[in-house]
Amino acid sequence: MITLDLDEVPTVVTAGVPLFSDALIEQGVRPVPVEWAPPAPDTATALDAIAGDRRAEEATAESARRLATARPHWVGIGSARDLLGLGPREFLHAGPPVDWADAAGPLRGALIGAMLYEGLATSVDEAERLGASGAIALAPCHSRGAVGPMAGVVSASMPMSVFEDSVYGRRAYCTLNEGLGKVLRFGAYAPEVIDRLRWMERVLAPALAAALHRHGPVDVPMLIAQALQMGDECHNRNRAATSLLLREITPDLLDTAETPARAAEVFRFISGNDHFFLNLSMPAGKAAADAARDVPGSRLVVSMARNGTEFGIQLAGTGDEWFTAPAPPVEGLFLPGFGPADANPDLGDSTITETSGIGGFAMAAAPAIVRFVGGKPADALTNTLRMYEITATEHPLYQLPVLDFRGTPCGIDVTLVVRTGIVPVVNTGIAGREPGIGQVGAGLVTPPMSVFADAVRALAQRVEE
Amino acid sequence: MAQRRFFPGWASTSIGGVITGSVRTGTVIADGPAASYVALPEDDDTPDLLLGLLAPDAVRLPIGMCVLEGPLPPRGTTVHVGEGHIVAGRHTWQPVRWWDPRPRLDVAALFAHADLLIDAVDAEPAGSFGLPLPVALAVAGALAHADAHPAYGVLGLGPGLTPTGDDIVAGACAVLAIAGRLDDSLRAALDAHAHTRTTALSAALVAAAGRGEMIPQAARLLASVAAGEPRADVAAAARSLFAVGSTSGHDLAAGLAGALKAAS
Amino acid sequence: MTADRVELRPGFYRDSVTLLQASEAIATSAGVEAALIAMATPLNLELYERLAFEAAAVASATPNDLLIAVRAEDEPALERALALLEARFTAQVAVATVGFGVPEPPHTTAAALRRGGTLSLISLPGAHAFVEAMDAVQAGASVMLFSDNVPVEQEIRLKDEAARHGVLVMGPDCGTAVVGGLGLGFANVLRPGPVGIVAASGTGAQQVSCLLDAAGVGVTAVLGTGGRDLSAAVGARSTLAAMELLDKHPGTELVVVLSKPPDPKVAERVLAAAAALDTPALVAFVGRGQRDLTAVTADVISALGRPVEPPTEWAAPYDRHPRAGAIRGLFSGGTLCDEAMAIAADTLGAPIHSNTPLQAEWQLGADLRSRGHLMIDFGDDQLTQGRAHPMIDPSLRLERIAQEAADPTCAVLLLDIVLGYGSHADPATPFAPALRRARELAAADGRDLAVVVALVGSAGDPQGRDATAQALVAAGASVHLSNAAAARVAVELVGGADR
Repeated sequence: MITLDLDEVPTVVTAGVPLFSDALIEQGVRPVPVEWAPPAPDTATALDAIAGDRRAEEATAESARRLATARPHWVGIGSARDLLGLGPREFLHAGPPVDWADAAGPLRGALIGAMLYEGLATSVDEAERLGASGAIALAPCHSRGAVGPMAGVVSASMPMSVFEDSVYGRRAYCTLNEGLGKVLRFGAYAPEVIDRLRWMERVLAPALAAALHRHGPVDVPMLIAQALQMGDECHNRNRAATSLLLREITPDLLDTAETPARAAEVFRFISGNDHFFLNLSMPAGKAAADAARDVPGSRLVVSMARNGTEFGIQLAGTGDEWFTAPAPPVEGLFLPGFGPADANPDLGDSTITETSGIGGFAMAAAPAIVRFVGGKPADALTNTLRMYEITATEHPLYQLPVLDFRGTPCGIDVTLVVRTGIVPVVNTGIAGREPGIGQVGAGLVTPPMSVFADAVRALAQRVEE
Repeated sequence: MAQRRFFPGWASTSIGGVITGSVRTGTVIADGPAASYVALPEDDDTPDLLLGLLAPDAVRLPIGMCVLEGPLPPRGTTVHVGEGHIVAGRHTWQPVRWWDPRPRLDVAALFAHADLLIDAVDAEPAGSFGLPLPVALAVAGALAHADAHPAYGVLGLGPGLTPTGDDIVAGACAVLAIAGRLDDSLRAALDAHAHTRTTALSAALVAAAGRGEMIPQAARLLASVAAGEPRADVAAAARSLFAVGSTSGHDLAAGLAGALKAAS
Repeated sequence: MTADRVELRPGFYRDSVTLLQASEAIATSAGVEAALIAMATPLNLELYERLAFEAAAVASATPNDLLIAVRAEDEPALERALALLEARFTAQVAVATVGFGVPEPPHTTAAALRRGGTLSLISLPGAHAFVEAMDAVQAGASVMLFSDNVPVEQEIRLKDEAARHGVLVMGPDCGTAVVGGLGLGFANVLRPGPVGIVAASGTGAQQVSCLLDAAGVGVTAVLGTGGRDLSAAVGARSTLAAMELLDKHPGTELVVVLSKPPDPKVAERVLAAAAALDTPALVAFVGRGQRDLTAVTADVISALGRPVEPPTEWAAPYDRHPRAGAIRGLFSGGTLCDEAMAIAADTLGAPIHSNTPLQAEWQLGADLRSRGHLMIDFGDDQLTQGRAHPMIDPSLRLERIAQEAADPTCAVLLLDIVLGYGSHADPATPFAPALRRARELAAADGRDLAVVVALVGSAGDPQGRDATAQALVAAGASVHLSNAAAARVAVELVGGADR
């Protein structure tokens, strides 16, 4: 039974030659024109196949729904050894798979630092030799249910937060954020870095674990939702979220810390780091995105990640396959004394935030971010508005006041990226190219279209007749 | 042949003959945010022909053309109508599409489901009507039985551009005309009465109703009733009609319901 | 010293009508000697070569590149022309993104429909139409799909999906629809009334609906189905759905189905469905040996109990004696060409050559010339590669009119002119002088060239139907609202009377 109402003047959406929308305007109606352009090269056939796949509509809607309705909570802290079974010579890193030979400066630096921290090597040279010799095993954080910001290196002794989503049953993991300046995740490996890591293992982690145990699971999505209404986007701007977190757990910290001084030490560490919350918004996003995985026929992007050499994505409908391309440079503002020549290409698993509907996608919530990444406040709004063109749904919990509390664009549909030419907007920090330098700036990244085009072609291969 | 620049209009077929016929000249006799009304003198003693130029979001009166673009001409403007165009001041309109204000309905089905309409009207709060509902129903019912006297008593009664009494009479006449139950002499008598007792616009609308012409919301409601749609859908269609004017929609609906009830 | 500029812009996408307009604008700008603004297809590269632009500049060109080649009398003229071109291109893509809250324009049909659309009109290249149309169908919106060259498997998939979502797919290759009084594609201004038309041919629907309008009979809707809906593979999916929709519509009192003769099994299915409707239905498979469109229109009018009058015609200001020679038919509407060919073939019993012939042996060669009768469908795919449709762009037919005028074997020029939205804004302006000149040229050669025009349009059309007719009559044509009548007059003029 056809629902076309023959007695109503239709509101027409036009795609194609202006002749037809002109003819409609002459008839006194206002058609809605589609700003159409041909899809990325060599994708038309694949797009047709996917459009004809009977599973695609529902599969995509289902994985988007799971992504948007997961509710992961921060439930505890443990070592990577205990939680993930990481062996003494096993290291996780951000981004798609990469080996030592191809690893960028910051990643190598972080691996060197981690080897020193674990006691696998006693000097930088020894660590480099170990790395080059293949004596250590590398795997993406993503492959073990984890995410890591910047170099994202995880070793066996490192404490990790555990996230659990009771709605879809996934778990996700992430280390604790070390702070700003010379830190492991930017590839620094000086003694102060290693000392800090040890302090985090011996003091910070146990204190937080006790506080968490006392508090019970922390509803991190709820904190994200509130922070989005306070000027954060929870990728590159986490100040409000970090503050809300402290409000949440400090009483329990005070109740459970060995001494008041200890409690104060932990409190100061966290409150001195505006990005502490990033290491919580990331695993929350990971748990939600993993819930959306493995739905045959789904067009949803479930991970976007960079290892400093390559940018990679994974889809819900293509299993564990990574689609990669050389990591693009970050364009933005540099800290004094640094310039583009000092910058490493894009790095980190933190794009899990964009993947799960926050970060760059929620830029409309954080116009102040333009101070760090460049542009004007109106651009922050425009960036979010553009993302609605390539997403499958709107997040029910993460709402944007400036858009009448509209939910954030959530769940990237790979076919929409390829069709519209709009790639996901990412804002991120810039790491120094040489190991040990640290952060040199912040800006916006344009993910390479080729990874989305490759993914579309792979998804088309899996269409059932 | 030069390309003539004109604004698009959406016109009622009821005034199609006037628009496409030979050119006649008239004046805008009333204006407002929703419409400007043009009076075209007739050759004989009959009252001027009234034609509405309607704003795009205004109610689509059966005697009107929606000006989809361009400004409504103010009172006093000279207007030329004919040969496919309406020229008012410096602006020209040409109809780019038409609607038929007389709905084509299955009359038997309309009578069969009459209670759907009556119930929808009955459910409305008393204060929504311009005249008390029982009065409206009585006037409409009388017309269904070819008795115009109660109608004479209310024509012109009420403050608006289309007085309440007239809306009731128009509703009743429209549905009776569609059903083929409005006899010519009754119609002529009502028209004559209206032209002396009420506003020119309202008289023109009563005359249109006598031809079975009505606003789209009324047509939609009758179509919904005739199709025997679920009550929720009939209620939704009724709500669109009730939203018209301040009490006009309710009064029209009362006229429709009263006449339908009495005639079935 | 002339100045050339050649530029290739990869991925710079503009549709052919926009490029045509840009080309024209640049070519007529002061001091420009030659201009070519087109996609670098092999055909256009040949043109480029012929214009003697530098070959090396396009060595790496692909059909996805926009080719801009301009030659002007000097540098300043060249710069002016290029600036004009840029202005045209940027004017097309202006997207307001400054300020707070200005919405991003939608980049997909799905995004556009979310903003409150109820119907999608797609005229993208066929290779990209399926994806966009699926967007619409899955969003619960009916689609008018003007695009052609859509693979049949995609058409079937689309129509099956449409059935699942309760929407109608009009197309692919659907040029005409009227819904809620609004003309979509090439459509005429029609009065509202009781007839619902389902048509596999746009110009067929236009002819019937305009003749009905002239007879005072209006339509509820004109629903196109696309040219291939009645093939065995597609099985009349949209036709049947449209018939059901009109049947359930209370205002529709008569359903009319128009098509060429379809696959026999499909024909049976449609006829059976028509018989099973509650609303009276009239199915017309128009073609050789069948009732023509004008006769079908008469059947519709009779079925409504109204009197049938012969359709209006404006006689030429000269007499209708038969002359020796051939009919040369130049058509923009394929169905109108088919109808004229069928009438001519049946009456004259002689070959009617064509690029879309009724019989294979009447196929015209690549030069499209013949010494005998011919009728050309200028809207056929072969003749519309890289150019706008003849209903919009008259240039090919105007050229041909001049050629035929100089050809002593041509006795009658027969052409259709289709009015309404989407078509050329004022066809009388190019055609009347061209036809007058043609007659004058022939007269100077001692020949009385007859011109017959089928004018498909309604009184409400923006071009001004009657004024157009009068201009054509003044140029020496006889003008007919009925294409069949025009064809018969043409036949009479070469000595064949209707048996």
